[in-house]
Amino acid sequence: MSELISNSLKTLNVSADATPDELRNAYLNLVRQNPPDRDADKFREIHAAYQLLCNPMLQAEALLLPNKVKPDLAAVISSAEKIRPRLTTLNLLALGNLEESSSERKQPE
Amino acid sequence: MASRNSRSAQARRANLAKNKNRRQDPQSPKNTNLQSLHDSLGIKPRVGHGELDEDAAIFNKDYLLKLPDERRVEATTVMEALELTSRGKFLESMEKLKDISRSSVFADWRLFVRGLHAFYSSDFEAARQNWSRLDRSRRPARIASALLAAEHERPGEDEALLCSQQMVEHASKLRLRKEAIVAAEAIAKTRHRDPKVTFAVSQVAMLGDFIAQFRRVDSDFVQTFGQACVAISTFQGDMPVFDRLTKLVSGPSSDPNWNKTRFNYALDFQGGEKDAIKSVEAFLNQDVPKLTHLPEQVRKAIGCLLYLIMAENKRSQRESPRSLFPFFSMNLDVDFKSINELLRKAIAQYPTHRLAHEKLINSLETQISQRGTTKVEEAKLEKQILAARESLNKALPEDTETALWLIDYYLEEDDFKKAKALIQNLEGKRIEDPAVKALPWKLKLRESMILSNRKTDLRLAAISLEEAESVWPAWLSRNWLPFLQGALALRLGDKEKFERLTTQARQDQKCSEVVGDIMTFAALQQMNIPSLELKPYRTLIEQYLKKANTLELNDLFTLGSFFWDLARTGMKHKGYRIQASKLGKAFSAKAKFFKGDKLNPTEIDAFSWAAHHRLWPANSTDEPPNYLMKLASKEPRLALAAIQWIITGRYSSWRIRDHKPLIQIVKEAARLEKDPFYRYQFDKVTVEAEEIIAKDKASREMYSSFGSSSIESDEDEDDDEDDDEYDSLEDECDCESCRAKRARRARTSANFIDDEDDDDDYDEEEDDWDLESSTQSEFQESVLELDLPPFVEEILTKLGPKGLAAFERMCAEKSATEDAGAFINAIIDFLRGYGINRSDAIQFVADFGKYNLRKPNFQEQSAVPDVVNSKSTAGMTAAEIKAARKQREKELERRKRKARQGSSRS
Repeated sequence: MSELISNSLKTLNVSADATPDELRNAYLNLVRQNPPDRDADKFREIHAAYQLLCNPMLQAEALLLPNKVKPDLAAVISSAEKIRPRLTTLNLLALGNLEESSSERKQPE
Repeated sequence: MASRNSRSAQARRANLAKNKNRRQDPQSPKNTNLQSLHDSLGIKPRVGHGELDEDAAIFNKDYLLKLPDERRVEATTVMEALELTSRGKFLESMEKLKDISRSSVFADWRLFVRGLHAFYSSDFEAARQNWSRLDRSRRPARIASALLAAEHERPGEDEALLCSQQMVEHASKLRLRKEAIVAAEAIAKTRHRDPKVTFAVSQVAMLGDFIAQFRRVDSDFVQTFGQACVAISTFQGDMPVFDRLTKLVSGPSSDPNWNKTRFNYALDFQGGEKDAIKSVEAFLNQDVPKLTHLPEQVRKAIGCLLYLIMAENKRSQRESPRSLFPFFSMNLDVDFKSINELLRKAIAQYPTHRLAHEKLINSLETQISQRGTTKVEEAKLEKQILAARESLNKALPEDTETALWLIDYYLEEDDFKKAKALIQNLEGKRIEDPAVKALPWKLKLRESMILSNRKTDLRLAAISLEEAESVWPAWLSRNWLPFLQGALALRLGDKEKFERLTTQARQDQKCSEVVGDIMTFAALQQMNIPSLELKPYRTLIEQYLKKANTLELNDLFTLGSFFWDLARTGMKHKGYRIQASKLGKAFSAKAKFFKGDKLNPTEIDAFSWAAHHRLWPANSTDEPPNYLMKLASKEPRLALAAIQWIITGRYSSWRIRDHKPLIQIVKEAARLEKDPFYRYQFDKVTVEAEEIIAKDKASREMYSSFGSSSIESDEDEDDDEDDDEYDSLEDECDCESCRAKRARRARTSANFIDDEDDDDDYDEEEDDWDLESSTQSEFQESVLELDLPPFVEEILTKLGPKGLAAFERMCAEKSATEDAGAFINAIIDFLRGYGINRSDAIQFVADFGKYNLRKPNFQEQSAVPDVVNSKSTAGMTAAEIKAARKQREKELERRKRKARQGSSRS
């Protein structure tokens, strides 16, 4: 997903599969909290995010945009350090194995 | 722009292969930690003594098959939910488990999965709360205990560890990315000695090892890290490294095969267009249908954009490189059929995308204007244009411009039903456009004209004309009205009234005989006067048209003003085309010498009309001629005409940004203008021009080359180009800054001559060239005379007189023999031969080409007027045209000969 779209999703605090109604509700809530006379920049940001997420053509353009920001590998590593990996299902289930000595394979009856 | 050197590419490939063989063995003693991790990874669930069959059924097929049907379904559901959780799909996972009741034996698993979601989200408190309610004798509780212990979290208040210590260690290893992080850091820290290399060949090999070792342990991190590496590699000009990386790492969900990235990347390479288009096609046909995570509308929009890219590429393959240089202004065999097909596909994908429709209409209109289009083809294309406009109107009914075009078309075709439907549609929308507000007038006027066709309907025609009079737009001259009323009276048989009305109108408007006759004839034609009665007027008009060049400029201004009203309201009479063409030629020939300080409204109208029809020969950049630009800088309505000329031209995006002062004139005038027609047009054109500039800016930023070093800051660029563009206006200006500029230019010219004088070797060694250069060649003269962009000037100065002469020879020779691409490369190679670096050479080509397009007198062909096509034939007899044509051919032949001689000498 393009950075522009993911930023817009973050701004509106909605998931990628949000319905048009959910988008609109999120937008209206945020606009109520950040009216243009209080924080014009924030309002513009919210509005631009809503415009982008409501317009498939803008989203398509954003998706086709070349990546202009060079990723920082150190930042990728640092964020990976913060989030621990999920275990595969088999590894996870294996954690419930009984101790080697006490465990004994039981055949199904 | 990155350069590709085949030798270095080969070396890089060889290096890649070498590094591949040098990979570390994951089983070597150095990797004991890794081995331990792989041991942990190898652990598998085993059924323990006394374990519930239901728990064992989660991972053991034999136990699963033994369960009763209902429980088997629940066990399968739990298995699927665990699988979804491992892939991070928590919501879907919980959705799966919602049917498991609290009383079910699998309720523990549901609770476990819920806690697991909290655990993976680092919410250990919530995880502990969920897991504290698990049955301590069952597997879910043991797994939970191991996980919490591995995170140094207590399993629960006063609770002992439920699992073995060995399992805690396994959990610990599997949850820590220590080894993967160390390996990734090693890749990240590796730096190539050349700072331009963002991802080195050695890093590719390391990444290969990293992926092989950790793919199974930590696929998420491997994927994210690998994708970041690919992204970094696109910031350098090294396709082999990119190729290798894209084979190692699978793409993100929005670009699974890297086709989209490859498209953008390949465009940065010289000659990479083919690769880019191949990638676009692959992305469109293979990837887009599979992007099911995107809403359908977004997928279709992507498809539409990709078809547009392909169409644009097809067009630019034939046009773009050539159009950079004036030497290639000949007609090109653009494959319109394929382009139109691609554009239609783009529309089919996303019908509400206005740009796709506009491009199709534009393509069809360009096709129709091509030389050699037969009448049959023209009729066919006109039908296609109509269909394209109807399709645009259907997709975007709020588009007033298209609706107005269609209304005019239907009215001209007497299809009142369709016209009325569109008018009604527009009326309901409260559109501010004065042209839309004038539609009832237009409808009534056209109705009266149609009704005048049949004798029985003449009374109704008179009523319609009266109704049209009652709603006559305030911004439109009423000069033609009495002529129309007179014509209708004549049609009714009242010759006396006709004479009275037309004579009175001529007196009131103080119009000359020729103007009065042409307006009368237009009215008579529209009111369907029988041809017998019309004949004397027709003969008269034909005589006027034959002698159009002898008409007074004032009369031409009045006629231009009249025709402007007809053109801007879409009420052109039957003879408009031929009259406008002949009178237009006469007007354009005379008007360019017009020296009025302040224009009156009639003169402004006439110039607006001439600009609307582009009566003056446009240069290669489709820009208005300088004399119109001068007038435009003083008169907002002509500034409007000039901007409209530019933005409807082929190079609107990169030309209009050079004319910001004009936009400013129009913008300011919009506030003061009282005429609603012009006020609306001022606003509209300002918005359009600013949109084009904004889009152009965005696209230049988007497609800038590596590191965007070649993109200047917008302000600087604007300043430079503005200066350049308005230099011609400064020639006559006496202000301080313009005087300074002229002086600077004079100094630069003087430098050229000084250089030549100093170059002694030149005179001694090459006598034959001395002869030519001592009296400067035409090329050099033109270079010295003209005000070149500073960068071009700088480079040409570096060449020196000798280099300049060689440059001339090369240009003359290559432009005659090579295609556009080869010609551009030849220029770049030539400049590099003079010690100018590649990026400067490319910049020179861009500036020089742009400059040439702006200054037709610098063009080889334009220096010899093209009498076949130019408007300069106005007023010439057939014999004169023939003689001029012959002279032109002779001149061209002479130049070619000279070029050949030059190249053989060199």
